Amino acid sequence: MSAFRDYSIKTKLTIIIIVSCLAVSLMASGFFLVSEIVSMRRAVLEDLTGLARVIAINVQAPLEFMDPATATEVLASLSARPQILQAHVYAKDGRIFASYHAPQVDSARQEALDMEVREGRIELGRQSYHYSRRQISLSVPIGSADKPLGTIVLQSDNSALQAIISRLILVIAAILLATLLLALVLSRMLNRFISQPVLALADTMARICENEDYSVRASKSSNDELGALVTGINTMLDGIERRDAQLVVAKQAAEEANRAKSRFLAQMSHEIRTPMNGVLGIAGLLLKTELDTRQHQFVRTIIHSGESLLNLINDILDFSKIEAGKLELERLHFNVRQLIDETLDLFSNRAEERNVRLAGFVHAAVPAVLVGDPGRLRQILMNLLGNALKFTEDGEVKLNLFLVEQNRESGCLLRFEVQDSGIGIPRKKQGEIFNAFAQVDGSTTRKFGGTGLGLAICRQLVQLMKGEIGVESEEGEGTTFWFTVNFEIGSADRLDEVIKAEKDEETGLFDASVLVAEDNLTNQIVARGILEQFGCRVTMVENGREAVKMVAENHFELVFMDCQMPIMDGYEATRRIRAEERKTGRPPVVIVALTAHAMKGDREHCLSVGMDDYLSKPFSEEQLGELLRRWLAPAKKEESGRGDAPTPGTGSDNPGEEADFDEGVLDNYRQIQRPDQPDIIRRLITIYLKSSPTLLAEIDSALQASEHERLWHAAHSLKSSSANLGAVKLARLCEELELQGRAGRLEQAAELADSIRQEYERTEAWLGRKNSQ
Amino acid sequence: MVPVRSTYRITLLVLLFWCALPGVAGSVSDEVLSARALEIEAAFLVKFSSYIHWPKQAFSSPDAPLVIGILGRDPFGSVLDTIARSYVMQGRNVEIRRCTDLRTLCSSHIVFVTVGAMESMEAIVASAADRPILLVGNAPDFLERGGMINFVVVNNRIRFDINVTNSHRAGLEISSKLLKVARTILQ
Repeated sequence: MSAFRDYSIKTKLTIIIIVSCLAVSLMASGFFLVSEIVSMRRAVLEDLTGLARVIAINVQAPLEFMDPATATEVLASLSARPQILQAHVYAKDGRIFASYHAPQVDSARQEALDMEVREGRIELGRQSYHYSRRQISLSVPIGSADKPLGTIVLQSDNSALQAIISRLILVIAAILLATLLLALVLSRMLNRFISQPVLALADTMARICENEDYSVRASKSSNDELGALVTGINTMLDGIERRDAQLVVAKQAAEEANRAKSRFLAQMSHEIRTPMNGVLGIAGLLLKTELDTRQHQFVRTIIHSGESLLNLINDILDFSKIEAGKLELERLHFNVRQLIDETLDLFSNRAEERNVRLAGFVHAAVPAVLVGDPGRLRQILMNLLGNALKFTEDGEVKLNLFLVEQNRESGCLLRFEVQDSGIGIPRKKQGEIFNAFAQVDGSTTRKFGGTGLGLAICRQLVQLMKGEIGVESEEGEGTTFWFTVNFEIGSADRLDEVIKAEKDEETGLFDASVLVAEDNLTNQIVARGILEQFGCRVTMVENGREAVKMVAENHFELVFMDCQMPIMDGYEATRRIRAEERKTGRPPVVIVALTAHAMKGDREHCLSVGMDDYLSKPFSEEQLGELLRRWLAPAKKEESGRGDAPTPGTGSDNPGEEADFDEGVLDNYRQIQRPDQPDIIRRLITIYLKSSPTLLAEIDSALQASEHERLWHAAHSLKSSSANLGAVKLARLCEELELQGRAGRLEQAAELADSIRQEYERTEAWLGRKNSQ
Repeated sequence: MVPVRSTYRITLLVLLFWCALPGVAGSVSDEVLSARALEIEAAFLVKFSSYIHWPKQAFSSPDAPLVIGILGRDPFGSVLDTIARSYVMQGRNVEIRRCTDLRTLCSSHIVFVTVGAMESMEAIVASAADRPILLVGNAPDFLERGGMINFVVVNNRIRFDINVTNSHRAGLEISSKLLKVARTILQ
């Protein structure tokens, strides 16, 4: 029955018509057949009875006068009726008086009739009959009721009747078949009125659904319920079409609003970043001038606050970018130990202010060089460390890095942990804190600040890196944030390049002529200041037209082109410069776009007009330096010396060599050593021994000039490279000097520098031993 | 001697027995057969009435009995009376009259002429002339001498011949059914 439910209306109608036709004609013909058979039997029986009566009258006299011969003669007249098979005249006493058998009747049949009489199916002395498929037997009394003489028994062949019945059944079957055919034809014709419109309607609906074309209308062919259905559907389609049109309008409006929002966001970031660029740049430059300690502190606060503000803007932009799925991870080689070191460094001041011990631990098994996105990894760590510090006072914050597993195919799985002894997070809040804009409670925002985006960004970044992030915390006991990230293991060659690049960074200066096209005065000063620090000769123009002119008349290694300028913007200027170059056959100058647009697509746009690279404002010294390294050849090493002023130092406390040098660090490098490559450790030591004296000289020179910045930079570099080789004590001393330099407290700097020099000599000796091993 | 005499006697007895046996049996059989034949003839005699159509005036009233007269010495005895008592001919009883006198003949519908009465057959026919009286007999020349139905024995069975001319003359109609059963029909 449920199968029937799924048939098409056409089939259903056909089945219904045929079934009802068949039912009616079956009933009618059944009734007809039965009544026909009954009446035919009756007719046959009546005929036979009549015949028997005639014979009864005719054999009455022979019976009365005991003349079987005559009786037999009478019976013999039955041969005129071929269907009569047998006839018997029984005398009153039950004996057979006379008999007749048709020629075809065999003895078995004769016996059968006798049996019928003996068994009483045919009764003697009264009228009776017995009907069977093959024959009809009947008895009729002879004589009157008061003067019974005997009985005549007749048997008639029933096969004729049976044949008639069979023929009748055949005819009825034929009629049924004809009815069926007629019903089929009729149903097909009737279908035209019901199923055709329904099918057409279904067809129309299918077409509408498939093409989503709601302008199609179903055609109406009748005024019945189907017509009403068609009208209803058409009305509905009208409604859908009308609503679609409204939706299109609404969607366009929404898209326009969204574009406006994006433009606004880009504009805002531009508007905020440009002055911030100015503030931070100028503050940075200000820091390098003669300032007393108080002023120095103020400037540092300005820089710090500006950076916070920029971070905030970056957070929001990051978050929207990740939300929109527009963030792509980089694949770079990096030293994870160095990254952790540098990240911790960034927080050392804050930690000190809050009286928090900041410590990092990297498990020895962690590979030195990894492939991944160090920028994003740093972002996660900074977020977590920033949080940990924010909620911890007078305690400790630890950053731990473990190797979870390592194999050749998938690289290594690292687990980072940021553990603090802060206020902790209530258990029921722990699930929510990774959601955007969720903080433990509203008051947290007021008390501790923050956008509430940090952890959400962390989670998204970790998920992007196909890792997991989680938190374990007891209220009042501190919090541990952990996350796991899978990294590929970097090759030894690339490690070398990384280290080399770092060396270049430490020492890089460029002797190049650079044109900056920038209309904003602040930006001009910042750009000029930073570029000159890198040793570049800077020419400044205020708009695109001047830039085109300048490039045509002079030779520049590099052109920084602000994209938005009055008179002629950077895109147009670039196009003209490129056109000019093509015309004159001059080699193309490197053009780098400067833009405050942080939106995706800017880069593509810049490259499409012929620019070579892209720098987003506000840019840091490092970013600019990296760009210069990318496009310009570094100047000769000799030029990079910045004065040489060795200072005698004081003796250091005398720790054992065991604690001063970490052998494990060098052993780590040994792990990634490949047999077909030059000895990494030897090369590292050589580079270190070559570059460190320069740094020591820089420290001395900066000390004498009281230049904090130069001092702590140099100390920082020496700290990093020393830590890289396992010179733990030297690194610690350098860190101390760096901290003092950053803080602007140079009272003990000279002593420290002395200790550093002494420790360096020990290190040199230790490395010398290592090198010869 | 005695044995001889006795043996002779026994043999004689056996012989006598064997000789007498068929004779006795035959005479008994004949006796039985003739009795049975008479009984059948009596039944036939009564039953004939059903196949004969008498003119209306033959009966004085609708329920007047059918009279069967026996002329001559009655051979049937009580058998005929028994049959007649149980027989009803078209609503009429059957009455048997034994007559010695030809005068009483006229009131009968059927007259059985015994063999003994055949001597006066001509007189009987004459007195019955022009009257609807069925003359039944069992003499070989009965029909030639004016009789209408004559019993004969064929193959040990009682059959009868009919002279239609005579019955016609008497104004009687004999049913064709009866004619069909008759052995011979004279015309």
